[in-house]
Amino acid sequence: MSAIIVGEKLTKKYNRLVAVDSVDFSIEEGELFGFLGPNGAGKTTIMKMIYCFVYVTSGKLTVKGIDVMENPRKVKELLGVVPQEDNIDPDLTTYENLITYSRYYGIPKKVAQRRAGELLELFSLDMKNTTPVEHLSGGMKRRLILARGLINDPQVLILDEPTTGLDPQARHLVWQKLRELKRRGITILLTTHYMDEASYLCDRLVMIDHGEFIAEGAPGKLVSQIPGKMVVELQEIDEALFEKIEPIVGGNTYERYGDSVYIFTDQPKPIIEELSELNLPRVIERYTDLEDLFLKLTGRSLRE
Amino acid sequence: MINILFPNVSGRAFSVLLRHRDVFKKMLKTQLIPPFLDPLFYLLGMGYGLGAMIRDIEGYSYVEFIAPALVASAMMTAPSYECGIGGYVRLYYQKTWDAMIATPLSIEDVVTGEILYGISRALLQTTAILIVIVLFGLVKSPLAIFVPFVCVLGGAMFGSIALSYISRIPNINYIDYYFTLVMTPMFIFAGTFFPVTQLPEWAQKAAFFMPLYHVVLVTRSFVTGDIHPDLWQSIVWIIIVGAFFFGLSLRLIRSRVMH
Repeated sequence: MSAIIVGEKLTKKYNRLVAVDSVDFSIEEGELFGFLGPNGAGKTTIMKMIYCFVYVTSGKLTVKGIDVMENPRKVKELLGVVPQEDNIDPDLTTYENLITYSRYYGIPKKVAQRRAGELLELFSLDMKNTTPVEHLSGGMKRRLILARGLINDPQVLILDEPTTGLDPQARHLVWQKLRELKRRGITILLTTHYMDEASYLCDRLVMIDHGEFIAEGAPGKLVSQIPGKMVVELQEIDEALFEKIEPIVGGNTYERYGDSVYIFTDQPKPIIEELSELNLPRVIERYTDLEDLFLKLTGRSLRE
Repeated sequence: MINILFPNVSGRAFSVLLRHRDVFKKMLKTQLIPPFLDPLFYLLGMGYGLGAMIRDIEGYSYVEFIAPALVASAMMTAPSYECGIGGYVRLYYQKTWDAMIATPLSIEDVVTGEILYGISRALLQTTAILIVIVLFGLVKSPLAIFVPFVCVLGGAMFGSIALSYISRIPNINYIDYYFTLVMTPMFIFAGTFFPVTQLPEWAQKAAFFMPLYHVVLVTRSFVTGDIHPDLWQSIVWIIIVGAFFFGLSLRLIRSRVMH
């Protein structure tokens, strides 16, 4: 295994706004790597710097050793890009979109036609060959953009929020395809703010907030940073109720937010038993997940 | 040298042209007839109708005088529509350019492809008009075979000017200003429907700065075979100004799209 994408002190400033603040990362070949963060955290900016859409302000960013600022054409040849917004060509059909895109890469016609056929089949769009893209559903458009991102047989696939706005079926289809692509050895980078997506897919991930990395590692390892394997979540807790609860939960790590109390513990059973006497309106017991860590690190206040 | 004037332009620009060609093919039904009808109406209405009441200009009947101007005007309007309105739609609304530059295409390739398409549309349009005026016996000289070359230069110039303009507008409504304040005055005053010598002296001097004035002058020389003494000067003017705006459009569009 060797590093395929490396960022060193990578920084992006828009005028005075620091979107990405001197981050370091190294993505291994064949890895599925995630960038997690709230809206405006700098995830998309990092993606855009990698696919040479946005200039690097300072620091260094290389793909396969090629500097993105020095030779963007070479870098872009290696990449497949699935951007956040739907920018498929609305003037063309599904099939034409792939063929037209292949010409931008200079792919020979025969190869392009074969690949376009295979990709449309892979993403279950082969029935929609001649459909003008404006008649495709949201999920189909998303799949077409994914197919388009693979037309040049890329070494690295960059996905900026690939499943945002998709229904559960479409989401799982995309996940399946991504795992399949990973098995084929393609390095995959994705951004998301869905924690389940990140823990389900990623080998490794970084959490970003305000342009800085606040945590990084394998999803499982990251979750284990939280004290306690389980969470007991109590809802609809007012001040009066909280006073009764406090002596019971006091010994554990807990957090209050709005009308909820979150108790982090390895032993939820005794706590729940003790609480049962209070007849609380809603008590939920679950495993801790990335979201707990994420909210712990970034706070619960709304972004944007 | 070329690299400094026109940075990051490559042969990949032709893949953008091919994209536009494919889209154009779909619109063929609606795009094929108007180029013939438009000049026909102008010829019949203004040339023969209005022209019947107008005395000869520089030895030509009125319809003979305006026929080459119709050809020349198409070199301006076709790229202005394609690169101006079409370009803005692809830049701002459809994000087609964003998708293109995620591939090995540079933004300069994309801009160049747009200009190539503007030239192509101008060629189609002027060819249609040439056919019409040939049928009316209004082409007086075999030199008219050089008109397509004028069209390539003129089309590139007007495409580049339109792209430079849209690179700086905040929304699509500003294109109206371009049509009203840039194109319409040229269409009327650049020696198209009457000779610039009819204008007051200061305006005659100002006409020299109108791109269409030179395109009309060159086109008229080739269509009538009556070589204007300023022919070479005008050709050089078109090349220099065209190259200037081509280089400018590359830089302005880059600074609009990439940050």
